[in-house]
Amino acid sequence: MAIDRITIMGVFQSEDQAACAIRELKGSAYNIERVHSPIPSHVIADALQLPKSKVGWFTLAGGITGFFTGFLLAIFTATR
Amino acid sequence: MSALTYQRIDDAVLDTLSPPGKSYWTAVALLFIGVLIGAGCWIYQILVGIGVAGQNNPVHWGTYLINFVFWVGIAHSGTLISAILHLFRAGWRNPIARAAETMTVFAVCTAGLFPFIHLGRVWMVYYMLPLPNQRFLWPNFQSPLMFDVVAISTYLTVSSLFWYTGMLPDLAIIRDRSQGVRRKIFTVLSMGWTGEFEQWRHYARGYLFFAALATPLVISVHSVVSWDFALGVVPGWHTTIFAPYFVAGAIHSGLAMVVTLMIPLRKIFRLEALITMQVLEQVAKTIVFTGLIVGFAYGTEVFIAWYSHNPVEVEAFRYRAFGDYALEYWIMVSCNTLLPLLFLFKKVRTRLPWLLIICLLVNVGMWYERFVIIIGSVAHDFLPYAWGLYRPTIIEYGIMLGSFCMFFFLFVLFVKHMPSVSMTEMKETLHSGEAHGH
Repeated sequence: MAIDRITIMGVFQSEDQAACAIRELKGSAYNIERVHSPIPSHVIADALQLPKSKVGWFTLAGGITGFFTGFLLAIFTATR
Repeated sequence: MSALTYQRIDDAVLDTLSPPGKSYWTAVALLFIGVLIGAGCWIYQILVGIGVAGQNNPVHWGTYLINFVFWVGIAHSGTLISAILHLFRAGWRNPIARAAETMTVFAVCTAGLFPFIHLGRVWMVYYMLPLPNQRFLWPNFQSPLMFDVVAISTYLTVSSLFWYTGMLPDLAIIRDRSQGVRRKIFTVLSMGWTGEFEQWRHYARGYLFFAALATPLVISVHSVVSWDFALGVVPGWHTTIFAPYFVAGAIHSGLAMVVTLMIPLRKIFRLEALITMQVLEQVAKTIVFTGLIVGFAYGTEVFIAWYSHNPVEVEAFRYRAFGDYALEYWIMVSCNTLLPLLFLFKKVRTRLPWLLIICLLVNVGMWYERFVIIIGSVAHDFLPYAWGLYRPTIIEYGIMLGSFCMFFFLFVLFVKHMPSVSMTEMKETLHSGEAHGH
């Protein structure tokens, strides 16, 4: 069976080393599959250049829904 | 802090989850007996009637309301430490944030029981919910008691979610280090957490939003609790200072409770390397600050009464300091404002016995603050012929004992089954001295 894909795993002692490796890989022919970390590192996140999370939109939608539901409930019950 | 490594943090926290000994189960059993006593008293009250409690004309709000406000107050410091200090990037909050959040969740649960207990006919609880009754009448949202239902349920929801979200990476660590049934349980609880950056990206953002939204919530919830009183035209209650006064008091009592819980926790589980003396010292300094705010509020209340030239207000505050409940008033003043000043001395705030004793006394003082506000005002309001005294009955003491035992019972169960110190945030402290959510 022919090998069409090579997977390499790297383990790094510090976030700076990991970030450095990520930057190097970004400029190479390899794709970065996944990066794991025990902490949400700034340095690694910057190296990965991930897009901003969309969690904020979810929060905003919840806030708007809650605000109007609360007011409508108060208005509805007061006018019954 | 420099001697700590990721491995040592994991080991120290995971050690707390090792199978407990006899003394642990004895403590759990004793606390459970306390819970049963409280439950028994409540059942007795339901069967016989609310008259078994000492609340009657003119004092209709007794220990049930005192304990409600006390526990809601305790609940506030958890979110202060977690959310507000997180936003301020105070790295010293990291070792105690988890325990403080846990305290918040359990204290809100305990507080939430008291309106039910106070109802008497607890099966009528749906009157507090936005549901029409038999006559198609809806609850009146202009009532501060309705604000309370909304505020407390929102606070319970948000603080529970905040607590659980922060715990996810730690639950995954336990999952990876355990076997058998425990592994299965933690696999479900950790919701597929792998520590991948795709997850951290959303997690950090979500945590930041939680912190940002929980911060105004802390202030609003206890303001709402204060309006239960301030919106009533009772001397000593009807004042605009109540909201900030209550918020400061809540944080003051909560910080004292954090220290009360932390000192035994670090001793029993040998967490001295994580929960350092420096961390406790910082909390003690914050208690001095909140104590001064509370002291300022006590002074302002008296000043407002004197400056208003309102004889009823003047009499209310004279009665507080020199009337039937003078002892309770002076316990409140000395425990909440004078004793915490001892923390200005480094020798006092760096000695564990002193820290524990003063924080316990602050808790006592804060309980009496609610006693003085609630009982002192309605016992002695406008009409002299309606004045009266109040003392709690044995049933109320039983329920109060039950509430304290329930809080400590839940906390003791938590510390042995869940990570009571945030491993993730401790690891971040090693890097930057800050919390996550950048």
